Amino acid sequence: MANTVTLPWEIVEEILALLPSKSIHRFRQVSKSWSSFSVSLEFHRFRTKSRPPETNLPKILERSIVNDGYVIESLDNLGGGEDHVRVCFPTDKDVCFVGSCNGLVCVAVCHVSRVVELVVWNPFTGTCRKLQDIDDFGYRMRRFGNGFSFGYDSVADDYKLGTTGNCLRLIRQEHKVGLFLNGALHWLVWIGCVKPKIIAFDLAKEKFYDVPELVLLGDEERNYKSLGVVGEYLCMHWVSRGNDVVDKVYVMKEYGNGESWVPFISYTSSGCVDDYVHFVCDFIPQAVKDGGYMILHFSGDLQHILKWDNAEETVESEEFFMHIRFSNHLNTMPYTESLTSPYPSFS
Amino acid sequence: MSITTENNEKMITLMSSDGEEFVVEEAVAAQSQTIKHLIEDGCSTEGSIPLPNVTGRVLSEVIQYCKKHSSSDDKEEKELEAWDAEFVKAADDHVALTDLMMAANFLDIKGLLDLVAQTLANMITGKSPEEVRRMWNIKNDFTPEEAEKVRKENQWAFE
Repeated sequence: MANTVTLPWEIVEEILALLPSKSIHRFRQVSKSWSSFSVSLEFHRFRTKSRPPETNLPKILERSIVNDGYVIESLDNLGGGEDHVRVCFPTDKDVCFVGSCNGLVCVAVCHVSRVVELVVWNPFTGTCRKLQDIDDFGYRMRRFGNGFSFGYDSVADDYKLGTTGNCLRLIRQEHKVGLFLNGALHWLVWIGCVKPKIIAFDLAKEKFYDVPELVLLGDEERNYKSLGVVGEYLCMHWVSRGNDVVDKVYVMKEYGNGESWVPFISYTSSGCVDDYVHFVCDFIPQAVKDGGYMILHFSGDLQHILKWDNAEETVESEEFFMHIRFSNHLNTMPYTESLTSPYPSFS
Repeated sequence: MSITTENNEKMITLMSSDGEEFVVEEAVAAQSQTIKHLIEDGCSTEGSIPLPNVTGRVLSEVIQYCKKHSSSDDKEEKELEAWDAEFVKAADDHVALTDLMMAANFLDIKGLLDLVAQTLANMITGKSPEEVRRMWNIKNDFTPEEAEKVRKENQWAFE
């Protein structure tokens, strides 16, 4: 029997998707097609779908100060609390996170409260790409964001920055990072501080549009705390502070359809979370249908991980404290491990 | 050709690329989406179903897998897993596994495809790029400069 056999491409794809990230990264050396395929967005999506949800668990990046220098660390073991891995971001200047999508993180390099450089970075492979035309952003974008965020424009096949812009000065949490979904960035804003409103910025058309928010009767609307993304769905987080602190998460099952908001999970928080007013969150669960994980960032150092299982209808919650304590949530950024290149079409 | 057995099971005949014929129950063969569609389109009434991409040796293995998986129900999941493990072990080396995977791909049998893909993935996880190239006869088409660039980028993946 011959000891070699030729491998059709569709089989290469299937096998690559099942390998650990480190092996795939190493096998980029096999050939040009292996190399370019493994860093493509197409592969990232295919792999995320083929793997069991628990292997796609999100990770959290954290900016911290060590010996007067800045470092970025990755919290790899969610819930474990202490398992930090120093990841290599090539600067000793101050940094803040702008946003994250497709396993890439946009980092602003700052000098004296001004952004001097914007870098799209893959924390897993270490690949960096400096964004051009920083000048315009540098003026408007102060160290803590001003509502800037980062996403992927599938029409232009490129990564872009978006902002809530001047038209919305009344944004209650100006520093909030917009959430990327469906080719657009999303923010929950309070206009005149009465009713929450969801606005979105289409990265391809570079236009704002409204997304119908969940409407509840009367004062209940005031209980909305934040917007999130659960898998491929937009969701809203709602907190009631009666005798028990009850959290509910609603998801919009059909994007853009205000009638399709449904309750997703609810749970009773423990009393140790005092400061709900400054609650901010990121939802990064992996599989909405079967269950998954959700990470809620609170202001300060507390993170809350929810684990739910739809078949068993259970929700477990686990709190843990970040290793290094800061007061601004832009010191942390969730991301998913991928090999995706920061360049639009890698050759 | 359709034959009916004593148990009233409808039988069909599959013909491999090297002319070998296999008579199997329709329910067994229909685990392959490709064959299922051929049956639905009426291709089985005119004698045997030709499978030009699959040799007799590989087809007999595929049929063995399909028989096992059509006779087992969900309760026997553990036993079935053990059987699967033995099944891929018997396939012996990456050449046989690759043949099996190509057949599973052509015949569109998801369970078998996933099983063999995972086995091959486990097999190569710790290998070097050179070993992978040798296994599947892949040409190294990098120029020396490109190779150096990629090598530098993923040095840590060898640690």
